[in-house]
Amino acid sequence: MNKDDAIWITGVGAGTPLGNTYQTVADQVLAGRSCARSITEFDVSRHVSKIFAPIEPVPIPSAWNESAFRLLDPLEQLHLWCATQALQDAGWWDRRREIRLGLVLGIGGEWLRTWEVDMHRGGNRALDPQQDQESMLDAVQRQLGLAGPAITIAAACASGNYALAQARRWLTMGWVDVCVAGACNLHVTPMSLAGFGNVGALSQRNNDPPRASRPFDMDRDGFVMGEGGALFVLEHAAQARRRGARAYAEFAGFGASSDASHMVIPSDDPGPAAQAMRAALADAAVNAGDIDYINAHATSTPLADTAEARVLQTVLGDDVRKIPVSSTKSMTGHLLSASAAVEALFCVIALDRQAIPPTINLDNPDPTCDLLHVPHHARSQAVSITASNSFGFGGSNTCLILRKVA
Amino acid sequence: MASIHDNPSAAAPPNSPECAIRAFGVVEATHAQISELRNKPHQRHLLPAKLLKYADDQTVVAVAAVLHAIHDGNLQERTLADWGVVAGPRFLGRDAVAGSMERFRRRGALGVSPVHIPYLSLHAVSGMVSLALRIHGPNVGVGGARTSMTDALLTGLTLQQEHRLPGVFVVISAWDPEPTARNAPETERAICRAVSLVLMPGEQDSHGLKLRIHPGAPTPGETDVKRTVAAPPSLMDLAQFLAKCSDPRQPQTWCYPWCWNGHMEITRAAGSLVAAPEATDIHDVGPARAA
Repeated sequence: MNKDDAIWITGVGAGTPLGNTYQTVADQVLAGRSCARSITEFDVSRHVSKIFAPIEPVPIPSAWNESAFRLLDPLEQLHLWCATQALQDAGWWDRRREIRLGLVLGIGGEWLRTWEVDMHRGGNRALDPQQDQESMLDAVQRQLGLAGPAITIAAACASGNYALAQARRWLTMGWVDVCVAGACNLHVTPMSLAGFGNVGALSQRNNDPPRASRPFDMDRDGFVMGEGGALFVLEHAAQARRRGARAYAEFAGFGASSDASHMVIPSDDPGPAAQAMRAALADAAVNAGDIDYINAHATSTPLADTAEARVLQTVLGDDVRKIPVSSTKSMTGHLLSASAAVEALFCVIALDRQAIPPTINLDNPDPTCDLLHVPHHARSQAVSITASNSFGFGGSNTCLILRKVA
Repeated sequence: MASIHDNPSAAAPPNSPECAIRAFGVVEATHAQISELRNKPHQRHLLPAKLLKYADDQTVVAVAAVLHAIHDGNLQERTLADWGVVAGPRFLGRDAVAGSMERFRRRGALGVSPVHIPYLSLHAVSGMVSLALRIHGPNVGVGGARTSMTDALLTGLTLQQEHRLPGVFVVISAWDPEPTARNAPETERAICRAVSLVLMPGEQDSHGLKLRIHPGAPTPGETDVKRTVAAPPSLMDLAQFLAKCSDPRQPQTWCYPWCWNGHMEITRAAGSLVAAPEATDIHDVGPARAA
């Protein structure tokens, strides 16, 4: 690809269990901090899993009136915080109405959450369609004063990667000059916690929350639900270079596939997921051996982590012993439809700080997950190319390749 | 600081991508009819038993529409493994979620079914189509609310072109009207409608139909945000347009306004005779029924 044709990430906005600014998130993820704790926000006495990884209170963006902002739905607050941060970071905030600006949000269970939250407040919105006049996307677009292309896209845990890929697509097609894309999720609710718990997917290490999320470990027993999100500003490298913008990373490659195996359980055939990784590598014009760091999807469930290890062994071959792999879900929990976006952020951090985030709680690696792990502590090393896997619930597989901008 | 007008992407006109619509399927069903479809969504295309047991009603009708499209396009023998799926349901699972919430109120956490989230999330329709047809290409859900149709057409076309997929199933679904209280008269009369389009590159069409997107451009100084144009075409409008495509006297263009004075359009080439969709059962909307 011509270097001027490249798509760069030039702005970042984040609200995560590790913090609400890029610097804080970077410091904390490399410090290996666990964010999981017991749930006190609602009654969990009858839930099998009673822990989660929450975000800190969403800050008020500088462009907003505090009291008006706090009246908004918390998920809307999170989107606006991340979008405002990203646009300000990229230097586009004051000019956002002068340019062709697109918006792509990865949101997987918007209406499940909206209707449930309303129910807990005593409402009946689920059975009153007249109350559903505006989607989260509509609200965010309206609040930001945007009029360009905008969509909501969902592929479960892979939503964020699809959102970033869609943004790149619009940019390369010349439909927009700049695009804000990513995913946010605040779906740790009584019913969602119950649903995932009743399907057997959640950790029941309720007496030791900080050590419950333990991807690739022999004693893993399920994932810990997390909250948060990340939005990015993407634009053409030529444009970014001309205006002297900071280049966090180049969007180098993307690949996607589907297991077509089961609506919940990952396939034990590594083929489809491996296809997604290979497609991403081909798109980025790199070989598997060129990858310096892999952010695994690895959720801390017995089946999925082993399945992913098999995928990595299939794709990497002998290089599986040379390429470090970590799962940052060990710290943040699983942010569901926002996980891919937040893990893209961790790859950006790895490129920026030249360090690999760890997999914490990895005391006893599962032999079926025979990879080059980064247990407990971050590792400093040269990082030029990262790969982030996100394999959605129901078998939607994606891989995102980011490259350091020289 | 350089002006935005120095941007080479702004200087070049944006792409107006297009593709062929090889086939389509339209299915409409009442609540009672959906029960039949759940067991047998298509008379001639068999799926694994109980595949749709836990699926939402819109998912059932959407799968049926896709199967009709397959047979309409004579694609039954074609390998679909590398295809893609884009689904745009509208308020998926409203009725089912209301039922789940009622059970939660009565039984607490134990009342939430394990299938509540995987079968009612936005990606559930595309995931089920992918599963039913053993499609290993990309599958995504889009929209979820009033703009599901726009989002699905847009994403289907651009996905097909970016990944050079041999084909993409786009399926859009909605209740008309949306269900309210379960025993309300309007709920009993409600129709669940799904339209599926088979998008393929170039000239591989048997219907003479094309989908094209014109992205438009912002008006300088425009600040009024109108994400949806007043009274855009509905899913029923699209269904009726497709159903009448075999009648050469009918309009040749279906147009859907988009942002920045852009639009999406489905056009029937002048002089082409679109084959009538297969008429199989009471759930299918053929030209006669749509008249």
